[in-house]
Amino acid sequence: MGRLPVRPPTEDESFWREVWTEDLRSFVKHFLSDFVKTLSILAALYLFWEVVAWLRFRGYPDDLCQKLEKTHFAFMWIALVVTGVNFVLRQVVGIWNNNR
Amino acid sequence: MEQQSVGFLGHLEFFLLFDDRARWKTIGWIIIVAGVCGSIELALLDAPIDDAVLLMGMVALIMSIGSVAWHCSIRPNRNSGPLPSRRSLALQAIGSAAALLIGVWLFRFQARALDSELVQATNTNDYGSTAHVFQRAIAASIHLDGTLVKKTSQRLLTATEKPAAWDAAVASVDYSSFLNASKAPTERKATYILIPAGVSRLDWTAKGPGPETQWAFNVHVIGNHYLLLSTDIVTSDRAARFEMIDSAENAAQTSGNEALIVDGMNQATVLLDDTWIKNTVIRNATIGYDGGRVDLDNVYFVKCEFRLSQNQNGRELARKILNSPSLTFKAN
Repeated sequence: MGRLPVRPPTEDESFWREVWTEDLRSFVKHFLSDFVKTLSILAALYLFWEVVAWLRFRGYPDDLCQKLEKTHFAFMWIALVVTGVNFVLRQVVGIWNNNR
Repeated sequence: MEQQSVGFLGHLEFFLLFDDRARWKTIGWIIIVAGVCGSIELALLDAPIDDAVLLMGMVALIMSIGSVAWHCSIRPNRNSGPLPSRRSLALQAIGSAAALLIGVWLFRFQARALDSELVQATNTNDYGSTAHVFQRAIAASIHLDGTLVKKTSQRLLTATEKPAAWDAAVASVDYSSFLNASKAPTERKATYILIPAGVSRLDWTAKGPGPETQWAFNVHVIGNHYLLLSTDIVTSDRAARFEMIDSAENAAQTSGNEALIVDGMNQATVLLDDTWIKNTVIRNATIGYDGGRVDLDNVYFVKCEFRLSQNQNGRELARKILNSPSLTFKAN
């Protein structure tokens, strides 16, 4: 049994393959990596918030719950600022890079 | 000199666009260090929020500059290492989804537990526990099952000959006003006026396209509060009212503000007896009513605590608040 002949890629196919491997692949992977990490931080913050609410619900002292809520606020504030700045800076530098 | 500058920019570009590992290490450390500093400032030292935010901003800025200097100038790196594998991306995504699911489950768990406590308390006519369930639901911002709340409230209102049942009915009215937060109108274009404790009267000049009119708001409000007056001016028959029933001060006016929000800042008490209130949202306040004359027209109570006397008018007002977020009620 001989091997089936492999059809050479058309001009169109090779163009898209080139676009994918040289430009898009790296961009998508970096973007996905950033997106998933940002999502992880937001999910952790949400879980933190619900745990504090649950502690309050279970009757833990109000003082402790308020302290935890303030801690949550501090982490939420800084996380949103830093991830937001990261996202904006990447877009700005990316656009600047393309325009050079 | 120019070559050095281009080199720094090139490294910065690489750091921001391709060096995921170094960038996320920096982000992680900034979140941890600034978050811990902010938490200590807010939770342990009880500092004002502005101070804590400023401190966190400064820490984040200094760490960012330090990190950029390190990665782009002192020890520049052009090797970002391998791109994240599909497996590691999938694991992170699964971790995030799991955290979200656990969060939602915790939220629903509380609502289910309170619903079940409410059913039990209602079936055993344990009015103290019923009131406690409503208070806990308000404190933890939990939305109980609507049908169950309505059924319980109606049952409580028919059993009001017992003082404990009346207290539970009033707690259910408090809870109902807590739910109104998402249903009541909120400020869009409004003028903000802070009224200090001890002042319960405001003479306000309504400025519209027509002639200016002097409008008086003189309901008895005890404690610090603020008013938000809609900047839309309408004819006096459609204007917001917040005045005593017998007051004739606004009788001659031809136009006034379309809507009014009274915010008690969790400090003020609004006394409803002998008042005429129209097109108004009263929020974050204690509401007192002894069953006297009152004329309420399109009034919303949001996150209020009620002190209602146990008489026919008090019961009727409670019933109206439980039935609809927008209240129209008149008692002579």
